Amino acid sequence: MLSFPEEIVLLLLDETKGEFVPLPESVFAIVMSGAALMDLALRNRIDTDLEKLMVVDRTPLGDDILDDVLSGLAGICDKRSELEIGEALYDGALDAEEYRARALNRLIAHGILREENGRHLWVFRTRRYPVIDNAEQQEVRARLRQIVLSNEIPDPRDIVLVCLIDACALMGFVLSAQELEAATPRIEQLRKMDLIGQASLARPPRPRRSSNSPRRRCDQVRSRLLLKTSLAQHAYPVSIIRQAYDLAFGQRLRQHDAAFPASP
Amino acid sequence: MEISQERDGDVVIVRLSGRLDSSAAPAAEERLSAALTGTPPRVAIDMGQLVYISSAGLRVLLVLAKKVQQEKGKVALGGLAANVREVFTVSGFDTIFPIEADAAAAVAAVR
Repeated sequence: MLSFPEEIVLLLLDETKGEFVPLPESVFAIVMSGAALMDLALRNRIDTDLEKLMVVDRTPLGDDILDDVLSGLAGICDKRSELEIGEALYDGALDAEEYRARALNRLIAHGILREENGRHLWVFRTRRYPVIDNAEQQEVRARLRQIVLSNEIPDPRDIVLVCLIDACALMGFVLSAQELEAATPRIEQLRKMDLIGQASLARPPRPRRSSNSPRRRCDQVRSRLLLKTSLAQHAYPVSIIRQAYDLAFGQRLRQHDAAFPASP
Repeated sequence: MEISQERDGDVVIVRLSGRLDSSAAPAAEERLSAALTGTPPRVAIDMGQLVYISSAGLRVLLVLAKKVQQEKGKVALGGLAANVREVFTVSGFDTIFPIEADAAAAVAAVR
């Protein structure tokens, strides 16, 4: 059985093109981190309530993604008495790209994907991951249809999958437009059932939610992550602009910096 | 956590007290599975003395509810403390389980 981080990477691949469906990096990072946390919860390494996340067993699982996340959480718990779900998500989200690379390598090793390097317009390097064996994707989609389009009580794994797929806005790949519209209340119901999923994979805040919802407490963490991501993406252009300014107005810029030092 | 069980006619009453978290979950799962004896099973869970429930505890109850549904039985919860009730509301578990004021009402609900 695939881990949830592997599962979400696989489900994010368009099996006909072998390319990832478009998804904002910050959303992907939170979803990947949420997938790892939910996996750790189902494997009895962490537990959660409305207030906090607890590491209850530090024994490694032999999975380099889950063990890294678990070790990071344990490190935080060593320093602090309490850890909020949103903070745990933020910690895991910072390494989401690394985890995607590891998950891809494992899926290739399992014979589910293959890596295909090429060039676009003979210049730009491209990399695709065509799906060799789509049995897992088909099975997950069939299971999701069954659980979303019925009143069947889900098992914990079903709930995690619904959380992950809906957070990535991929339900449209599983259901028709009419089915999706009709099943929206059911999807909402299922998504609430996992407290990590509820906190991490929430769409913009909805009215009438409980004031004690983990989703609410996650808003600030998501904002921090978005800011960090956008700063990282814009770091290079900013440095070029700064160099251009320095060339043009060097003396005045240094005077300005001396007068208004950057806050630490 | 303490778990006790008694029978009232064809209804099995399971009384949970203390904290239902990851450390108590395995024992609770075992005891609750053992309560599915009738055909169909009828289970009333008295949570009047339960002071805390975590995600691991919710999963135990979810697994029980699924088994009961598969066997076309009935399950109801009774006597939830306000903090435990809030967990059920926030997580939407109150849409899965009938939640009654006390154990007697839960027994009546599954009859």
